[in-house]
Amino acid sequence: MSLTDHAIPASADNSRPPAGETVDTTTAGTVTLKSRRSVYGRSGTPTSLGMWMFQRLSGVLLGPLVFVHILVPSAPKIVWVSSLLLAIILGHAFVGLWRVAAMRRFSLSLARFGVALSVLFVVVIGVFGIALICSL
Amino acid sequence: MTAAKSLPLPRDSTRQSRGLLYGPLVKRINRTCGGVIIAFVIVHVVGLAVVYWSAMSPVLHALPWLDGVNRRTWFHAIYFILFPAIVFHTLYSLKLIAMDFGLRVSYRISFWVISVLAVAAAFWGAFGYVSH
Repeated sequence: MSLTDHAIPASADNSRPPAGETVDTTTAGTVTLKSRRSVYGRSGTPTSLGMWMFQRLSGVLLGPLVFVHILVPSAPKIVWVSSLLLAIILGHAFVGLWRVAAMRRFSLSLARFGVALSVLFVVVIGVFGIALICSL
Repeated sequence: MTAAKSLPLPRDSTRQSRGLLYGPLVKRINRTCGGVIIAFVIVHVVGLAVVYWSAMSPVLHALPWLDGVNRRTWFHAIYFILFPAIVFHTLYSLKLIAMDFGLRVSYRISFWVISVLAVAAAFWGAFGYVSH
């Protein structure tokens, strides 16, 4: 008996894709909210490698940048430092919100609403952030 | 590779399901902490933009209390939530990155260590609020 025989069959409740959707068993190609992958009987939307790498790299960069932003009094007025911090925050938050929406705990429509909210967050904070940096 | 005896998945040989399920719990806490930080970023950026961006001066005239609100004592109460959220989100994410590089970390010990540090940060924030 192979190890794969232990896997829960794809017909388990939480692994069954909603009507009109297919189970994507690979990570190749473009990842969208409709992409689904089943691992040990639990389905989820895979995060693309680019987004995954960006979130980790931006998270590592955020630590020292936030540290400098808080502890160096003149740092918020240095345009390139504040611009870099703003760009990384926007990217990190967008990917994080996208991933929460992509969990698709309720429905695809609600997930799309979540993605729309993350785009709205980027636009609003981007506009206010750039205006703030230019005003300082 | 063969297995001697068929075991249905998910296995419960360590009886983990009878106790605290760390994985789903930590994932939810980490994402909640991320949400708290995002909420703070919105308040921080929009609030400062209202004060410093000339185009928002009508809003500042309508809501003059916004100028200097970050220096009010009651405003510092948010640190009681913000500090632990930052500590938990940072340390847990660093643990995830370390594990990506192959470092083996006990999920139970790391959860409790990070949680205690986050609670300590909450008390630090509360102390700052009280002593302000």
